[in-house]
Amino acid sequence: MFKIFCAHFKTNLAVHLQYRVALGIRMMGTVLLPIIYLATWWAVADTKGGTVRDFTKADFAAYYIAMMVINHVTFTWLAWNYEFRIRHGALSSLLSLPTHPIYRDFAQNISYKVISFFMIAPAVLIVSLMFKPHFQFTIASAVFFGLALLFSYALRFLLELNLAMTAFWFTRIKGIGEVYFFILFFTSGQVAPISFLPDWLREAVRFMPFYLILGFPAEVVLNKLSHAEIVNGMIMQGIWAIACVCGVCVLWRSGIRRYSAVGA
Amino acid sequence: MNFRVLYTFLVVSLRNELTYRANFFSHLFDSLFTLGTSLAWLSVIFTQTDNLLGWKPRELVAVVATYTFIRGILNLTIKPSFQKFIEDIRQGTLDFTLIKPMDSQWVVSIQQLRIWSLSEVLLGLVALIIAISGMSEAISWVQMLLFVVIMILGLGIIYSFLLMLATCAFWFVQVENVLEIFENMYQAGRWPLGIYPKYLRYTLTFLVPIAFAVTVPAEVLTHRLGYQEFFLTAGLSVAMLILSRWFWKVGLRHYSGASS
Repeated sequence: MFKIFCAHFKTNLAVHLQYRVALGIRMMGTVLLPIIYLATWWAVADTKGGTVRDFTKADFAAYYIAMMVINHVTFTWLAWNYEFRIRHGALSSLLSLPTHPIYRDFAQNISYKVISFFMIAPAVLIVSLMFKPHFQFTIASAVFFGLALLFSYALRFLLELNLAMTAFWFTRIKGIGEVYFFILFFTSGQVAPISFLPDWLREAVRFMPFYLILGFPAEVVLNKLSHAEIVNGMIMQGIWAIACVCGVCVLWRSGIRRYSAVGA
Repeated sequence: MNFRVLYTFLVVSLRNELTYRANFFSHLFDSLFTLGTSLAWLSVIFTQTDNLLGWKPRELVAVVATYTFIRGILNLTIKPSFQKFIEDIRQGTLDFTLIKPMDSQWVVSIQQLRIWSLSEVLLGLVALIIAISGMSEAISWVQMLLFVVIMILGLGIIYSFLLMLATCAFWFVQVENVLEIFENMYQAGRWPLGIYPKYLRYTLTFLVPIAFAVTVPAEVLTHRLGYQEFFLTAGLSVAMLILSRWFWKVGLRHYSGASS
């Protein structure tokens, strides 16, 4: 299994290296969007004399730089990939191979992250120099952050795999994808830290996978959560991940039976 | 310029598009979503404060509406045309464009018409009217006129920028996503330029002139535009149109066709 992954990893590494410019362009969005969110909150902080709730400007900077990293690490293209494969019938040739296409997806995602590390790292450094974030690392918070990030990577990958599988039924899932990103934008802590949301919404959002993917690791690294809350969050991540695995199994099995290669 | 050829071009594009009527709804859905996201975002911001560095909610809605309106106009013809142009270079089919009896820059700029993007233009317009009608200070006719003029100047700037990006395809061929650079930068236009920290503001303004296209027209409506800014915008627009024209000619000379 590991050998298969390695083989896919190497070919994908080569592919990504060929499209360096495309990669750089994509990274631009990854870096620019959190800066826009950050700038708006800085403007609010300036208007209100320095702080919004318990966030200072340096806290906002730290929060959104953490968000930039988390979003970059957890990002996938599964939905686009599967829509394309199913709509153009490219899935057929993948199905005839002895390995599940998920190996390929996973290797592709990891190899992209490996290469783009060399772009995101300097970008984060420059942005940090510009915005002077306030980070307070302890060994415990670093370890917790690492774990939370690992879990959120797994959770997002599995969740978006579910989203991708809906392409078996709808063929074009651009609309579903837009709804997904809308929900992600508002309930994950991207638009604002979730403590800014109204009470009833915040309590609901805390248990949703979207917050657990992005907002949760960011709050961990900012030391905004107690140890009990961190452990609870990770358990929730685990539960959602298991639910997503079940979802993928069901969707894949019934989807593959429906699949007839569009246009074939 | 030959207007009859231009007219024929538009009619053919229009007939093509009218075949796919359901596209209207998918475009409408798309633009409603983009606008909805911006407005919901605004409402989250304004749960924490009642103004943003002096910008009141209504005024920011005007900025968002201008943003939507301009995006619609770009999607109507300029962006899809450039997309086709880049694809043409890659496939060598640009030869067919070049032998048309018209200025080639015009052909590549208007060769595609996505009439359904009008839904976004109209949506932006409706949002704009709602935003203006709720403002405390009335908008005079002079300001209306100024708004239209400066919007056209701003479009000139954006058009030149896009043309220069697309022209890069003559050298780099594989640049299908070069327009994505613009897409990413344009996101920043949702907010008035003043909210960005100074160093970022200069980067955004001079790298990509989105600011002039979205913020400056919105500044007219919110009584913020000074004379200096107006003349700066006008000057920049003309300069960029000339520059992009020159760059286009240089690029064109570099084109060798695919099969030759």
